[in-house]
Amino acid sequence: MIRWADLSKKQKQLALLMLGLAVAQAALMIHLLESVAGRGSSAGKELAMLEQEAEDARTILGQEASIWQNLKQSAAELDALIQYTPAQADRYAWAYEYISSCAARTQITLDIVEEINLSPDDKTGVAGPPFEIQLFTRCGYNNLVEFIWRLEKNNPLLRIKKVTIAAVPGFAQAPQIQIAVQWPTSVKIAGKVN
Amino acid sequence: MSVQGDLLEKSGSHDQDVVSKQKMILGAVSVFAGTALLVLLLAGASRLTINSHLKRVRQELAQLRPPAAKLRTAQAAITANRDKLSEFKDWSTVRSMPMYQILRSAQEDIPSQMVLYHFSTAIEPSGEQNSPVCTLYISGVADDEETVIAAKRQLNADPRLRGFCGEVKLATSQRYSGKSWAFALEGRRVSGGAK
Repeated sequence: MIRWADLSKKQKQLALLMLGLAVAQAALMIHLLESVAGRGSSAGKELAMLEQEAEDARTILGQEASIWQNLKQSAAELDALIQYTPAQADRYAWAYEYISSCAARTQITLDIVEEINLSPDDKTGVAGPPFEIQLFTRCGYNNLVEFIWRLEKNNPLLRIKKVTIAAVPGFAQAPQIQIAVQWPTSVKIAGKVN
Repeated sequence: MSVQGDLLEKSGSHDQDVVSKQKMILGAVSVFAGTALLVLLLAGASRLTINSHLKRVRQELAQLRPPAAKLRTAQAAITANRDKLSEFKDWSTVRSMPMYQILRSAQEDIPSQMVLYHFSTAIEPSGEQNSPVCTLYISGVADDEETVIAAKRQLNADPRLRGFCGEVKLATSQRYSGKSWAFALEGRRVSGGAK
């Protein structure tokens, strides 16, 4: 058994130096160990990344039922509104049918029903410029109010952009009326399950 | 002489160290080699563990990735649908006051002593912001000047019209013939702005 007290001063110094070197070597080796085979190594980094990805996947899979439920609900809500937007294929015919049916119920005659081409830069719509129809008619004020009431009542997305009434000399009960109506452009429903 | 003798005696004791130099060196080499061996063993074990974990996680991910990808696509679809619903809601909010009510209110507020030549209401986009501008414009001839002022007061007292186009102001007013006055009333408000 070697006792510290029995060592000479030089031997003590040498022993301390070796101990220091041993500690330094250990630290260096541990560092190398970490960089070669630990979490800091490329394999360790890949493992950490994959474990995070697996954790994220488990988290989202844990919400599966609510995700499908939310998707179904949002698609149903959107679907309920889409029916009030012009059909993609023949939107003028769709709009004309709606407007003329309201006019017929109000017993007014439409003189002109025309589509207005808005600038593609118009950002006032939902998915691009709104779809605008301009119509001209001549009728009494009460009929006009009823006609507009019917237009608005049966389509929550229809917006009356402008109503202009101009008196026609000699026809006090039938002024010239110009109405501009708009709809947002129809949009595609994401994730709709048919 | 005695001091010199002491020094010689101390230096002579070096040859009688408790641990020899060879033993010290051998000990040091053993410590270094031992440490290195231990670290290498640990490195090997750690590497094996990581590789084993990697294999396990890869296998697990192979199972998890396809359904997770489907759910992420579904989440993106939910976000897209909600954005569209929000935009539709914004679109509908503009017509919170139906136009037929504006027309009905104006009809009730305009006195019968007035003949209208031009009447228009509009909700049109403003140039600067996305908020639309709501306008009401009425022009015609009144029996007298007081009728015009009374009509203006009546229009401004109507909360529905006030909410739609803000304060209605007298834009023009001039004698038409005799006591009759030609006039133009106008109200204009940016939707969401002051009433």
